[in-house]
Amino acid sequence: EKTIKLHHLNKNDPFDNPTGAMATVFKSLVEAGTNGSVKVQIFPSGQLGKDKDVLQQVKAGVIQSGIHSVGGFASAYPMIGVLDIPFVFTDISKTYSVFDGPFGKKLAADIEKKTGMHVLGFGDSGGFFHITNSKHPITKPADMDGLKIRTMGLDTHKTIISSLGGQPAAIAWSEVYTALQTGVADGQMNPIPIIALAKFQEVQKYLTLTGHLFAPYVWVINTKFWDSLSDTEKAVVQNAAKSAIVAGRGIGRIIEASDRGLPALSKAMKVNALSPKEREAFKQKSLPVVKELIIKKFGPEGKEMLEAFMKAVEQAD
Amino acid sequence: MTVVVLFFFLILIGLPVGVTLGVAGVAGLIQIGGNEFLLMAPKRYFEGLDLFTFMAMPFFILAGEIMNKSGITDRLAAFADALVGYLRGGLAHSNMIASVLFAGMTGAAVADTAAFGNTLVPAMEKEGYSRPFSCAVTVAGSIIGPTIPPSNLMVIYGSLMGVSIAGLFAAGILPGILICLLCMAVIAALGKRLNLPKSKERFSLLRIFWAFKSSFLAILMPGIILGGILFGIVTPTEAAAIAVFYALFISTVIYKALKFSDIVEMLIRTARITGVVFLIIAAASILSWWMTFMQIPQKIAAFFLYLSSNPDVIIGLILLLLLGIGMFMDINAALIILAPVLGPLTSSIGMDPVHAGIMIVLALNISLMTPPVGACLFVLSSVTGERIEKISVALVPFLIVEVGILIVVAYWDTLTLFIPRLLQGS
Amino acid sequence: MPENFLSKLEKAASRVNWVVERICALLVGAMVVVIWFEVAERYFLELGHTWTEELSRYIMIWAALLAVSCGAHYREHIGLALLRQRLPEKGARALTLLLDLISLAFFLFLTYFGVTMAQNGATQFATIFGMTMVVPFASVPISSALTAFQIFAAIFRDPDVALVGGINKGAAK
Ligand code: NA
Ligand code: NA
Repeated sequence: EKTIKLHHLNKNDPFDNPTGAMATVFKSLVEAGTNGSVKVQIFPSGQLGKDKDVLQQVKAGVIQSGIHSVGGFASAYPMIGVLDIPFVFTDISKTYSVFDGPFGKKLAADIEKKTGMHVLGFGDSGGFFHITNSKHPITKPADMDGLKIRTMGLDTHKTIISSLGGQPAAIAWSEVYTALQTGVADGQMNPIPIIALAKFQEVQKYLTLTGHLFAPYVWVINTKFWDSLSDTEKAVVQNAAKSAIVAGRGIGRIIEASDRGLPALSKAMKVNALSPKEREAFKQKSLPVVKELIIKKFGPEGKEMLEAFMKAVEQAD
Repeated sequence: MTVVVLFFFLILIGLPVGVTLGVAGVAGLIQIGGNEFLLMAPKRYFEGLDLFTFMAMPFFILAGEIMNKSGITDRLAAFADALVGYLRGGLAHSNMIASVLFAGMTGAAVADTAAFGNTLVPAMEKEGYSRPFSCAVTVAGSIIGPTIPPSNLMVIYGSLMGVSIAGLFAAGILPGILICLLCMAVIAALGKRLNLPKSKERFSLLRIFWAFKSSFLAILMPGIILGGILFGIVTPTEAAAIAVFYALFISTVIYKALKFSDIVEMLIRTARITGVVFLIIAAASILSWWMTFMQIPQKIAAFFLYLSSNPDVIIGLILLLLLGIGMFMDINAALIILAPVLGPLTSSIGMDPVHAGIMIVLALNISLMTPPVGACLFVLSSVTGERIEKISVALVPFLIVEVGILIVVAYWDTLTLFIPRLLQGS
Repeated sequence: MPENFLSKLEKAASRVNWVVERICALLVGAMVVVIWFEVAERYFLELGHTWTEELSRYIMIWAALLAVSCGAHYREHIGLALLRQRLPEKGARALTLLLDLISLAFFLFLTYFGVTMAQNGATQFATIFGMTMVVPFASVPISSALTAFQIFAAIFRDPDVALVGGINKGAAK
């Protein structure tokens, strides 16, 4: 009997968040589909350690599978940073075809080559990154002037903020709530479910739907374990992951629309969306700068991946 | 089971606590088998320390070193003595009140212990208090900090369970103040029996004035740091580094009481105390990971549930579970594992999520001061050189009162929910 | 054991400890300065650096783990003395030796597997300066080896004689 120990970062409730839904659906489909010959045991809420550390556990075969944030994944595969090119997606539905299509396959193959982990797919982390702050609504890049925005330590993220005129601030995740409450930072950027989960609406006044980044979850499985599965089992596991990713996207959209997502946040914060024209101004200022950074950082290989990504976005329907 | 037996055996024969935790953890990993699991030991040993907020502890120890050496501590103690010294156990009382004032600056009990253990304990000893009693007062007061906002554990609980962090913060205020008041009652009750010191000088406004004048810059220190947090200049952990800056500034520029060689000595002592405490945290994280991987806390929780369905009994069992788990595990790890189990359970018996959150956080913080594994005890033992056995004995009356408060918090929701409701109403 | 070897061992242990203590002091000082810089950066310099948080964490880990070996040098690591106090002198010495050997084994274990971990760090990256994790991870095997060495040296020392220069001079034991 084989067991997949699956780790993810959130609460293990299928109606609470995308990874909760993914893990639950995956477990059900795998166990039913293999008639119990492959079991799934779920470790939710980041129990087994920091995301980057758990990724190493998957690689070493301590556990078999993990659904990882891009931030955690960058520690093993820095080139995932090419996805940090801002303001390319105009619409969430486009992200599905990009990550399920040829570009997703190309990226997965490169990840497998470089990290030695098999990619089961790219899941939804809860949609686009948006910016919250406590000072004023943001409608034009000039509104970012002097705003201290907390970002992760990633170069690409801090460059997005600085290229728009804001000031990126280093604050440990564990202190972000307090920092926003007291005003150490004016704002931060994250997807809607993270904003809601971390309760930032309690300490922020304005939410601007910039949608500047889409950060997927990367779902990997230990290669040695993967190879130990029979062909039938492989097919069941791969298809279960596919369905689970769809379920995760579904629940992500439902949460955004339900009283736990945007409607709840808009009760606590003033929400504005960037019009296509406003968005273009942000894009003009930040995209070229970040693009240059990515090319400088990852070389010709990164440039090629970046171009493939941008082309896939363009062609996405 | 083998791991538990091994753990208790090693700790009782006197193996250092950190090594005991590490060996027990490694034994667990060996049981699972495989090189990849043995490799988890050094990894967890490293990752267990990889948390920014841990830095507050060495910072506060360093600030305390500077304050002691340069006489800032003495000045503060003289001021406290002028204020309350004519009362029996006056300095012990002011230690408690200082914990409340200090609460706004820290989010973790260990940081509080470090700050006060290194300053107030020596000051109390100088006034004639016994070292174990001074330590007991300091440990007892250290859970006030993480109960009154800000609180690291509350932030973790709130974001794990989708509970309002502002609500949790508000709900912690009354229990925090109650801990202070009842611990002061314990000090008052013990005053005669332990023959706690009493200043020969009588209460006089003039004396307070002179003490205030001579310690003004020192008194300003907590104000500046607290202001730095409240006005949004620094985060609590950064504030601890600013405390070092301010102490260094007045010691060198104003009081001119430090030499370069003093500073080197202080840095070394800070590192060494940190090393002693962090060995325990690092090694505990090996055992914590093994327990998580084996899903032991969930199994114990499931077993407890199986014992009863009566809400009152379930609450009692939850408290036992939390206090017991805190004996083996780092409390951050314990919270991350147990919150998803206990959250739904407490709501199923009708507890308000904010109320349940405060109960869980308070119980875990109290477990920081119970032996054999109580990080606050170790910090104090390391800073003051007092044996944990002696501190533990002196701590008993305080611990009884604090567990009593925990029980009241658990069974009487008004204590936690009064302020959040008040705020919601307005 | 020959006297000569023992005195050489003792001298080496003290010298190593002297150096490690100064390195620790330097690291603690650096950690404080990095956080001062973080605050100053945000208000005065506004350079948009975000590496301070990660850098200070790794410095803290290096400082704390290296200091573990100092704790071993002075026998400062906290444990219960309940049993030892109740044993006759010979028994107490035998017990101390047993405890030292267990501790030694533990730190040798961490050293051995820590080397592998540090090597694996070559394919992992910190977000700052594109640094590989070899640098932070190396703290585990290096500090564990130093700690094992200090425990080994302490075995030959009289356990009842506290070293001068302990954290708590004159502390109750
Ligand atoms: Na606090
Ligand atoms: Na405890």
